[in-house]
Amino acid sequence: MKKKQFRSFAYLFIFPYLSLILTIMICLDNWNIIRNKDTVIYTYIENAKEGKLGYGFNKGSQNHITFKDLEEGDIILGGNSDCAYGYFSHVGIYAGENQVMEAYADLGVHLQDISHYWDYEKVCLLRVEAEVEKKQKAVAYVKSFEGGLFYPLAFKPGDRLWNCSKIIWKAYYEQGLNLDPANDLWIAPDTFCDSPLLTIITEKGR
Amino acid sequence: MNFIHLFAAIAIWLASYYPGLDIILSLLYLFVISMEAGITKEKWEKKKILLSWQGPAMILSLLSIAGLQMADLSNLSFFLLEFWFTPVIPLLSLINPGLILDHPFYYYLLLLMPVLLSAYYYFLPYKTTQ
Repeated sequence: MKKKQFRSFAYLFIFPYLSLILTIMICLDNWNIIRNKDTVIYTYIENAKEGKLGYGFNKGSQNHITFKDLEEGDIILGGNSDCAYGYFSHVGIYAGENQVMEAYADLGVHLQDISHYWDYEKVCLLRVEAEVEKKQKAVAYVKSFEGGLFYPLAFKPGDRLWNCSKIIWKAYYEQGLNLDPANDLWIAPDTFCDSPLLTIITEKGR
Repeated sequence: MNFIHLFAAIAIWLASYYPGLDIILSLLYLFVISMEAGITKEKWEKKKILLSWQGPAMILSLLSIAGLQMADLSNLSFFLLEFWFTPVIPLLSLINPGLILDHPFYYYLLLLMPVLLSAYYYFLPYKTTQ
């Protein structure tokens, strides 16, 4: 009976113990990032204090942006009110022919018609300052993960768990372009706005 | 069980910072569940544990299916379902046969996960210790 109780006790505390160790390891690994108040986690905490917890909801308005100037590899940001992790809540990469590669919870990494970006209150089209070949390779990289698993809190390392921002950041990172100048633990759509490697083509709603 | 599940979710999410370690912890989670099932003798006790452990997930899964026509509702419930099943997410990420009927394979597995994990826990036999 005592052996059984001890076993049950061990199973109970193995994961809290591992959580503590991993938290310490990650904090030590990223001490400079954790102290930086401009990171995604601080944005989230500040917004959570104001009651913003999710990806926000469209309050009925539509933007009427035109996509005719887009080139393959351009980045499209969409945002709704009350988004917890920044001004923009979603991001995709233009794959040509009015199609966009993006990652979403129930759809994973997938190809979608670009028209759904009209449903965001705010939208911003960005161009990566890079050779055409690199941009095409970035799009091909995202396409190679079609059906890949979306996980909202995916860390930057690894290529099994994705969120909408990480897959695009990684696609360009693999081409030698780091679109996250702050080297944050996570990538959020707003990260792309701060990158010196991106220029705004056009935007609506801001 | 909920205590184990909650901290397994945190530990496995944190472990995903070190790719590969999350898979090991996910397997450890399944092992711990099997051990817990092995020390729970009474069927009614198992049912009680299942209700509190998988009950919320079943509701989220049903909401995800029922809310298919109400985009915001189904999206939010599926988000929460993903968080709930963080302990098995690393294992699901290993399976990617592409899209099936416009959804990835993990989507269907997550919707079924409350049933799969319940069956895994419920049908594991009680182990007597000498």
